[in-house]
Amino acid sequence: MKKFVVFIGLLLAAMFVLSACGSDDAGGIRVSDGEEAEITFRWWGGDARHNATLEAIALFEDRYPHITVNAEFGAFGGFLEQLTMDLAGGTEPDIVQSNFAWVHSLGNGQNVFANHLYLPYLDLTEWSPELRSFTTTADGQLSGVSHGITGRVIIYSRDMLAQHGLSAFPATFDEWIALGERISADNTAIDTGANRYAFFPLGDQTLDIVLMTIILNEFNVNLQSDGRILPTIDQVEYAFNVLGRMIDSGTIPTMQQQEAPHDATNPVWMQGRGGSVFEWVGNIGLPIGNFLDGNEADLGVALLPATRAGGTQNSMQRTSLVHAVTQASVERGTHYIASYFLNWFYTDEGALRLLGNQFGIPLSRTAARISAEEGNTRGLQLAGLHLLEANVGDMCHLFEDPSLRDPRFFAIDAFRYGQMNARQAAEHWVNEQQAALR
Amino acid sequence: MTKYAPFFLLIPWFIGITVFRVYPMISSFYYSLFDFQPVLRTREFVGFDNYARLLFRFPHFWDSVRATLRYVLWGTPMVLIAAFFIAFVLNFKLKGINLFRTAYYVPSILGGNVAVAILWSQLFSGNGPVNQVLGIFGVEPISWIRDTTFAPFTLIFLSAWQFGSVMLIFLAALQNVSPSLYEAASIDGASKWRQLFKITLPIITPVLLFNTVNVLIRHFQEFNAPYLITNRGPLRATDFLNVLIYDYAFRRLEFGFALAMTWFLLAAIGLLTVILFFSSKYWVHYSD
Amino acid sequence: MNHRRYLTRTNINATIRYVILIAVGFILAYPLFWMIGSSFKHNIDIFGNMAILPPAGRWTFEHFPAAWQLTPRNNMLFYFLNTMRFLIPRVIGTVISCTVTAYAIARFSFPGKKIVFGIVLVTLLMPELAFRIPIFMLYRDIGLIDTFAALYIQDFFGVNSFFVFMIIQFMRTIPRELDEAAHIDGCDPLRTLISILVPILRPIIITVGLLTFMWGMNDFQGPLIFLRSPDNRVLAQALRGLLSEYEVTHFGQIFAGAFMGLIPTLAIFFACSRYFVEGVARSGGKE
Repeated sequence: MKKFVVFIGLLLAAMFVLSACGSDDAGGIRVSDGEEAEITFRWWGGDARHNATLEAIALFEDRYPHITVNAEFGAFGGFLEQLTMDLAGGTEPDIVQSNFAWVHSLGNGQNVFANHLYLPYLDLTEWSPELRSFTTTADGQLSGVSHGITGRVIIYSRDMLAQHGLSAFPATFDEWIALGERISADNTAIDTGANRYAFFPLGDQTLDIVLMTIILNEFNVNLQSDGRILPTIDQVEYAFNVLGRMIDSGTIPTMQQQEAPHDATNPVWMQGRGGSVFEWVGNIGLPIGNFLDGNEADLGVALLPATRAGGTQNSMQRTSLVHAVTQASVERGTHYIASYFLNWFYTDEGALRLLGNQFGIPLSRTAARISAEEGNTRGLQLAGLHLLEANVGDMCHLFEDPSLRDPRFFAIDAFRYGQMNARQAAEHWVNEQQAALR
Repeated sequence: MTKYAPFFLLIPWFIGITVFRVYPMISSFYYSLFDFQPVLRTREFVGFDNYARLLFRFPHFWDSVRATLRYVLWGTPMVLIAAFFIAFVLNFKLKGINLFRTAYYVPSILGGNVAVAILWSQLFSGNGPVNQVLGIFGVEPISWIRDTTFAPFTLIFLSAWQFGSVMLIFLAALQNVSPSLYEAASIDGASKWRQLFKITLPIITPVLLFNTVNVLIRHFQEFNAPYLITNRGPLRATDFLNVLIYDYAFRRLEFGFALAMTWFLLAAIGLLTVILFFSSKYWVHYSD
Repeated sequence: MNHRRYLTRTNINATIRYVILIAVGFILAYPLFWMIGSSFKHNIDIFGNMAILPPAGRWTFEHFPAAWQLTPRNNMLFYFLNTMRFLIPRVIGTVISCTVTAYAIARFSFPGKKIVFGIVLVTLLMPELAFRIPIFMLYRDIGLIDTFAALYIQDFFGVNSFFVFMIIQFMRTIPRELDEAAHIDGCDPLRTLISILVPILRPIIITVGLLTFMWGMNDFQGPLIFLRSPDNRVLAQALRGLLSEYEVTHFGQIFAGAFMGLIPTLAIFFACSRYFVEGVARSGGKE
């Protein structure tokens, strides 16, 4: 039996080598050729990420002096616009960073990203089946590789809970809303700098995800499958009613009470007047860094409460970000180099130590091991990661698609403004998304 | 020789306008007839379907048209008046006026910067200075950015604050008005206000026409402020056409449809401009 | 007697004018002062706080050096010089080509003039988005992507209809007898433009240059579309990079950066505003 396994293994290895040789004939520059070659890698991020990546690239170029890796990096704003122009002009980079929504909108059957199942140097065993599922597009191809998994968690002020006699974050919406009522008792209709809220939503996305999570928690249905919106109007109405209770009780601010900026630098959060915010585990550093004097010990993490005692608590998990070799690279014949670099970027120990957690918490095999050795994930972020491990509940790959997201945002806004009741908002939520899906 | 001079002078323009404007415009119109998504790399001819979708199957578009028109029709006169007033003040012949000119111009230099977006949302926040000043007069605090009625005005105020180029053009025009005309008028004993309406305004009407067209176009094509300050909201109250077009082109990657909207926008601006030009026969005076 | 009364009246007039100037100036400038003051504040003192200066004892001076060192690799000067690499040619090209084009349209009658003017207007009305993809493809084909030339080449062809239209409108406020007289004196058309019209139009030509410069300094979209490599990044892009989605943003840095980015434009504006006055004196003296 053992021999048989070895035999099959050898056979597979031989087939792999043969197929690699076979595709070699198709042309393209290989790393081992020693020929001068150039590829372009484009990503977005902040300065720390840029620096770490540039260092890693320098390391690669050191080791493979005949290869030049052009770095194109910038902020997230404008990234898609630039990429679109490049896609129109066929000038896109060899390796490009992508997010969950784009990998499915651009990657599905549209010849934007290479099929990573067949990239020569990419060792796919680095990525667990779950990680691979995030970048497997509807046409069945692997349209990129995931860096890690993220999900939404609550970051709460321990102090504010303690003031109201609680030692742990509420486990159900009922408890949360009861707490919200007490915290907001003295609030005024327009926030003049003294209001307090049990929950402060940062940005439009927060309540959208809260609403979807309520639906997931209570009914265990996801957004859509095969072009059909799954939650019924009744189910969505239930979720809007929960949201309505949060508004009526003052648990969250009203539209008029909520002032800019719509991120963790909002004074309500910075001054400790917000009891909690809702953020991606990977971005948890922002609310932590902006809370009072950035003291992590004052904060805790929790999952969004369940709709009933003992109910499930989902966290809308998705890939944190994706790196993909483009189809243009395949057409240029630089995809050998590109996939070699990409594989190196995710497996080389030296590179991974330089990169740290700059692209988020890495979960591909080698990267996760190095990250654990270095102790890069710690404190609240580590606690948040453990919360994610404890539950499932993936985000639908179309959830962040703008044509579905916009009607949802609109329904939530209209509901908060009192222009739609829960029923109307639910109808809008379901029907408009269904219309956009066709 | 003079007969051919304009043609020689226009050679570069002719090349430029053909290559950089006319050809791209024709091509953009052509693509507006396709279900054109650059990433798809396939384009399907759909005739005028993008236009039909726009006009009949896309209610969101009409919300956006309404929001844009409200912004244009309120904003254009407000900006013109503000800019003219400032130009008038800055045309005073006083010591140190250059310093004032520079200082007044600073808001416009800032442009549609992130810093300005932060600044504006703070000025108009719940307990921001605008509400505090209004409070002195007993006005209840207004939610300037999150209220559907007031949000467009918050953006109009920004546009008026950044009167820059419009003011500068007025100022240049005012400076071209020969002082001898005023001297003659003051001998005749005309009051300052009469001088303004009888001498200054008629002389600068060509420039007024230009500025009106220019401000109108700029407001039709407003992009940065609704994008950065109100995030197109609340409830699409500031979801202006140009932002919607950008959204479809670069977030949803439906270029053909976005281009159809662009052509609609062009038609709308064109219509208003034509009306302005026809009316200009009655109120614009040329010296040449 | 009369003389003295006249003096007092001008004094009062001047005082009223100064009062107006200062009052309006305050309303316009207050937001700016707040912005500058906030570049010395910590985040927590910026939002929901409209005092210009930071609270006592909470001043911070680190935002200016941090904003100066815009990115880990390059400082503000580097990005400013990058901006100049496209902006100087752009200003020169725009001023010359638009003046010549406007001159041809405003001062000559020729068959097809109405069509030419019509094209100027239509291209003025067209949103930039309509040109973008075809122009991108064109530049790709002639290898201009990721070069600064992509950001100024078209400005040498007088296709900036805004400025062409603007100069036309100004030429039309100048009596035609002036250049006709020059023509009779034997000046050729280009000489007439340079020696007769340009001096009179000086304020407006300077305005064209200034506006081109100012808008160019703030141009974010153009460089985003046409430039690629980090070393070809311009100031407007680098400044926007201070607002990070991934790290704690120091808003004081954004304000400090915006303020420092203003200085070149301000200096040029201040230097140019003298010429406005001179231009007046000249065109006034001509009459």
